[in-house]
Amino acid sequence: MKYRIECDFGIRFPTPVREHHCQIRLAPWEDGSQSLIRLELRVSPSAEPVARYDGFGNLAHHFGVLGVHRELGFTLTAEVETRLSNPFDFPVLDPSRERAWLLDSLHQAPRLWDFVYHQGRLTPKLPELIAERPTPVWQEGVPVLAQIQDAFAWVHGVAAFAPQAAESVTDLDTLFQAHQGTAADLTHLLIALLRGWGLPARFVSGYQDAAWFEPDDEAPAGTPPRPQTLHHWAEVLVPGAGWRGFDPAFGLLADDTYIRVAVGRDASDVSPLRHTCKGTGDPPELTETLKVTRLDQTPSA
Amino acid sequence: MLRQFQSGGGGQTQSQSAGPAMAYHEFYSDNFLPREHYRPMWEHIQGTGQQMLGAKAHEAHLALHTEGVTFTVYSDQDEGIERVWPFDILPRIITADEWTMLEAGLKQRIRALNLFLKDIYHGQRILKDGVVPPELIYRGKDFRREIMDIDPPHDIYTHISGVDLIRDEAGRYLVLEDNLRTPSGVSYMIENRIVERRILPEFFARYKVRRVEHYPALLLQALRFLSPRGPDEATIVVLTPGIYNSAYFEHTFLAKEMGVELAEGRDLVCENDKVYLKTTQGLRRVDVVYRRVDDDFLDPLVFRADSTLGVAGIIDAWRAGNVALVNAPGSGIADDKAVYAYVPEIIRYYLGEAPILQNVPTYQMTDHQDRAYVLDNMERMVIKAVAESGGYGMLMGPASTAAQRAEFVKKINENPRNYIAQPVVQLSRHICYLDGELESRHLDLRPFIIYGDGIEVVPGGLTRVALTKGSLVVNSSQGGGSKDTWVLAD
Repeated sequence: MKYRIECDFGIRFPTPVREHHCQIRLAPWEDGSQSLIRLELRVSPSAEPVARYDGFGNLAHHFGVLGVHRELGFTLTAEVETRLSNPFDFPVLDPSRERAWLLDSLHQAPRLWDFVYHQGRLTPKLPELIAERPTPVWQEGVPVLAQIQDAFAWVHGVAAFAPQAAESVTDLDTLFQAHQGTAADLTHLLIALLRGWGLPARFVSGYQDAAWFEPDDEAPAGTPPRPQTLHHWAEVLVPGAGWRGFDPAFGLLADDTYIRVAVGRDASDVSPLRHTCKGTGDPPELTETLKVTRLDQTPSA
Repeated sequence: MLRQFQSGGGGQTQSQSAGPAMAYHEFYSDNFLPREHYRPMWEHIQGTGQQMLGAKAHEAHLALHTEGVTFTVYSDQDEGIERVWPFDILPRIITADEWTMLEAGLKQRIRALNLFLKDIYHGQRILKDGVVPPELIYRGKDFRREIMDIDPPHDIYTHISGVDLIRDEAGRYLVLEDNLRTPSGVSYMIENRIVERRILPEFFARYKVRRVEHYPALLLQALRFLSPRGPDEATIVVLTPGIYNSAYFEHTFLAKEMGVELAEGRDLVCENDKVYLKTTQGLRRVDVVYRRVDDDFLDPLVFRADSTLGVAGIIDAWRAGNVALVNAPGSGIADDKAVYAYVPEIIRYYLGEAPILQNVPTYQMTDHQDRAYVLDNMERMVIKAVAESGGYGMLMGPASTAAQRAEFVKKINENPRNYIAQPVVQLSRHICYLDGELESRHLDLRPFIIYGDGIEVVPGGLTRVALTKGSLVVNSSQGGGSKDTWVLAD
């Protein structure tokens, strides 16, 4: 499917600043299942953005405005084509061969270990019991896909998806108390579980088809769609398939309505905006608007 | 992971019963006479009388005080106390033959560790070949995945290293740790020599001692070699975290000696992937940054976002090849104390050579057998946090209390990757002139290695002395002193 993405960011300071450096991760990935047709980034006050790949292979842009200013804005416009219409299009391996497939992949590409070993506040080693429910353990002989589906159900038992929530938690313990969280929160929980099983799992930020932001069937007529935001989900190295996206918020496998932007160990590796400047240190006001438009109206297969 | 040690139970018995008497003595041979290379000095002291040493020691202290040679001690309660650099006037002497071996061993080690860093941050062949477990790298605090695939100028990561050597009970030199991040102490090595030469010229008259004072010139040459615009165009700065850093004295010393700018993060700015120094004449392009700011604080866009000590954009400039960073960010993974245990294997793997310098036997706390053994024998172990330095985060088994040991058991079980253990090695001893008496104290040696257009080991180093009787902790931050270190020319 083809999409146009328009991202508009504004940073407004209460007092003037200078030496303002920004690093952004908003441009779609390019690989076998997704290609970039057009990409444009405009900055005001004028600055020359430089594109580069970071240590995870994400396309990041950076630019700096050295002179004194109070407002900085940028607009990223991209056109992208996604191809993964059927996320199940891979040969299913016998469960007895799945572990060997994973170990072989880790052996060929040791960088994948980062997505097995990493633990942090957002993706800690999970306790055996959460809210008095046992944390699922890996079951020998059961296919990975089936176990991930069970994991989805478990994640929802721990915390429900709260689409309106603005802030993600800073550590998972808080999520266990709150019983509901953002897509990023649920994704971290899923990743923590899968890493505990020894599966390579990584955090993804990206865009979603605008349809996902429409009110659901039970909402009263005339409910406006939710404002579009970056979405977050997990990718798991699935035996026989490679990286596949799993969206715990909606309980789905990511297909061609998901547009990947950046991957990392957790949310801190994929920050859409990192910036720093010299000034009084007063926090700026941030505004962001996102619009994802489908360019071809062919329905998903 | 400790193969070397488990096979030889004798070593454990030895360290159990070993008192300070078992330690190798640098100065005295077995018949209680000075060793051959100390005799000219000894004869001189005997000829002039020991009282002379008292006057000289006082003079040395005054000289260091006047010169402002100080260091800072941190403790839990205080912000930091500045002290005059503690210096013992009796030099430590290393023979030419010993040095030849040490120099070859250190060069070999640094060459291998640089190949290791290049590999870890690129193809990771050593992980694919199963020589080093990926867990050590990916659970290592100082592995910086943010710099994957960056090519530093000339593929050099550790331009400046300070390798800590000790001598075991048999007098064998062993590597205790590799300091590859921002090793300090080189200014003290030079100051010690300047003071020693001034106070005791008569000692020097009896020996051919190799020079160390040219270290800043060697360093400057290496830094110029790294300049992306060529050595003639090079603008070099020493980047310091500022006056509150314990090694600030050294930062100013090196900048002054090399005739380059001393800058703090706020004095530098990046634009279009280039680094500039703010001067009264405007921005001046910088080619080489000898940074004494830790990785975490170096670039708020890449590492810790709350850092105000670094330079935003400097990693991108480095990635673009427009600036050399000395040492390269990410070098710390190669001096991680858990990776240290693998250095002999790393040398064999990249160079196909047998290691010239051996390690101190090391237990990995991630290994169940090792861990069980260490937890049963804590009184005989030194337990170290893998990513700490300066003697912080360490348990000295023989001197520990039950409460301290219990605390370490808890810490180790919580995060085994974060700890290693080594049997207590009785560091070699040397005579020191302390309060009017000649007393023996334990010491180590930190030679400095510069990697530019080739690897150079400065003939000498910083000899650190544990001034407390019987103590094995030599870190200046923990009450250690120092000696001038002489390497003989022949």
